[in-house]
Amino acid sequence: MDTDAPAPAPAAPAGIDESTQSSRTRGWARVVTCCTAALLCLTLVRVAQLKTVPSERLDAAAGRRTSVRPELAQRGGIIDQRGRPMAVSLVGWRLFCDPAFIYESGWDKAKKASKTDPNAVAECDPFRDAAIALAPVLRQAPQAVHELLQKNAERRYVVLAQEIDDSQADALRHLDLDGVRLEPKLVRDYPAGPLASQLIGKVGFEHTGQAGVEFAFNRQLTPTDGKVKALRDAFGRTLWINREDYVPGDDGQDVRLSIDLVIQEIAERHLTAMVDEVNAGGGRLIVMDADNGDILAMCDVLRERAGWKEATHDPSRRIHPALGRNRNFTDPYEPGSTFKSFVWARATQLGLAKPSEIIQLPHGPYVTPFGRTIHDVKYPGPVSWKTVLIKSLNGGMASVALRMSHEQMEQMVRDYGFGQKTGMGIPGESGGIVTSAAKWTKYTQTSVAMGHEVAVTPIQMVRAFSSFARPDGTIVQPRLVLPSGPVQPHAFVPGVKQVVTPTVLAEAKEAMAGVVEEGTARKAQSDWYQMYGKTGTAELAVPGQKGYDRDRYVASFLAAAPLEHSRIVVLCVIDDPDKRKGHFGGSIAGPVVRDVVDETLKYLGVPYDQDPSKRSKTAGGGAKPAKVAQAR
Amino acid sequence: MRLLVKVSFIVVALGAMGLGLLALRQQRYEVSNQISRAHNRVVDQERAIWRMQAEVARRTDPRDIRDAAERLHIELVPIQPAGSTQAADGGATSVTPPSDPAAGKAAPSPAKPAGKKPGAPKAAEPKKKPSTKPARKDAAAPARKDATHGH
Repeated sequence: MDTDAPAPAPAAPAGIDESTQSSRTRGWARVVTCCTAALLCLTLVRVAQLKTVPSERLDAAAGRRTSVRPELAQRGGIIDQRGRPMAVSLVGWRLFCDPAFIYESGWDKAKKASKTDPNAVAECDPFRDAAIALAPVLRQAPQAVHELLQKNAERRYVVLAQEIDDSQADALRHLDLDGVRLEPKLVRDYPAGPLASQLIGKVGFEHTGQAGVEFAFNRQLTPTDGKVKALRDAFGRTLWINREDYVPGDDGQDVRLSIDLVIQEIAERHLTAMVDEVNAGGGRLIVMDADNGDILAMCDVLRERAGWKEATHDPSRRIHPALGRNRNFTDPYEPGSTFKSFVWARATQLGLAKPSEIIQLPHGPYVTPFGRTIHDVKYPGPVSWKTVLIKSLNGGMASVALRMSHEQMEQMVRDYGFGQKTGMGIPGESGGIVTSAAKWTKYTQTSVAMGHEVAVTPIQMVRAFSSFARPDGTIVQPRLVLPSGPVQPHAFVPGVKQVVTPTVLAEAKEAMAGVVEEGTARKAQSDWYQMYGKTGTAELAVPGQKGYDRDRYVASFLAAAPLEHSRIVVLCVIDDPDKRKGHFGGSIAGPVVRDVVDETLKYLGVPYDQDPSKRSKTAGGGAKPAKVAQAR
Repeated sequence: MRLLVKVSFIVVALGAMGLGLLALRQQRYEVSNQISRAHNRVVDQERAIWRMQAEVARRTDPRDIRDAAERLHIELVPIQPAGSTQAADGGATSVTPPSDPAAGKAAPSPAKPAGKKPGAPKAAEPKKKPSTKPARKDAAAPARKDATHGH
């Protein structure tokens, strides 16, 4: 046995080969796993870096990724009794620019352009170019825009126009100017135009009420804007809005006025026509629903006449007519003879005079026991107490007023609500002027009986007169804003205080119907409706002095209609008419009230109640139709 | 080899999962984007409605309606405001249009509107207007009873 013979190489065991291969595979697998893990780790680190501390270059390229903008909510609307909009809010545009950016951007463009155009830098004036582009759209001179930009060259936010319309906005979008942007903002629109403008008022640039109802009910009307935080792409386009980044806005509440726009239009048309016709300094008119105190129309016209020293001024109206004060609330006036109706009713109610009683008046001026001479237009001699009211005799009123005690007269004034604000929530309301009990003299007693030495606002007058127009003789609280929720228009609302008894109410209405039929308001007689009321022609007090101007007047007519079931109370006051063109309440305020009553009651569907025979008599030439009616 | 296959499978599976997640994320963003666009459209529509409301109000201005009615010889007749009922005092809330006493027909009492149920939703059409005063434009205008004051 050859033991030295090399032994044949042992065959590699199959298990070892497999294990080598396996370990090699495992090695590769580890490498792949490690590489993959490393790659993933690197990716994660990079993502984390990009998310948390991106490089400045990338950050600049991406720009601001989120933007926060207000979500505009609508300011509450002002609507009339029937839901017609009188003031609504729309989204308009404010134009602003970044002058510093305009400047930089302009120069950058010029530098780039200088490669092809050597004069580009020398001729560069970014503000001039921007002004030339913007001026036609803004409807301004280029010099004005250029000056504005240069003056604010260092600033980053300059408002070029507070409000621009849609066509201007479209033109600007088309121009696509660098550094010029549009900002949405609420703008107030008054669809009815100048109708009831002094009543509605106006909002300022910040969309807050500055006057009228806009100011008085600003809190109710004001909306709460929402907020939106949006993620944007590199071009500024909205990518998405996260749910938690959206806070919706809260619209303001609507204010529903008692005004009826159609009646308002009727009233303004007739009042303005008469004020123009008699060249008056102004006029005021109120139409009130007697059943519930709803103010259906309220007008206030003020004119400035060349060559006249006006008695009433309102500088705010020169800025904007809607910024003017509402003189129906703020400006008291001496009511003159219209006040006699209240004194007459109270004296009758106290039993101090009966309608048929003959009041012994002289055929000349009446001289009071304390020596005051009371003048009248005519001196008919002894007449009935009813005729005293129909003919508006100062002497008769003074003589019966002297039968009343001072306390009774003062109480009458207070009972009818004079000297107190109506509490309708209109800022600047005047309570009028009533002489205090301590200063009440016998002169006051006789003056007040004729509507002097007392100053009232038109709204107080219609409130007081509502006592005659309501079946229970109560005064109704005037209402300018209707309560929220369903409202029954024309529903009867109980009065706040009874001031006339039913018997006296009937007597007073009969006497005041006589005023229209045969008294001082014959020109106010309607062809269609029976009206009752009282005229007034008071001399204007000389401003800053004692006494009255004998050539300047306040003419008024206070009436209600129809006679039986009165639906509306109307007061028309013509301030300071041109005496040569007419100054008596019955002549100039009467026809306005008549036309307003006619049209309003027809509009409301109230049946005619005028006696046809009287109508034909009137039509045959009794009362001249007013020119305002002819001019329609 | 089997392990390599397993590892490869895990890597591929992880990759697929990652891609799937990315696709889902993308879809979520796209949906969010669509919601944002829809929101913007709603806002735009709302603003358009505000604008149209104002436009409607401007075009229904009482003066314009009156002028148009006069031009077209249409007589405006009253309507009862929505939701109104008879007065609590049982009285003067009549919506009966003016009758014609001059033509021999007695005017109905305001408290009792003739031929009209209290609280009726809409006024009946008016009868012929009195002709005693032809000078008045409204009395002389031929009646076309297809328009109302209410808008």
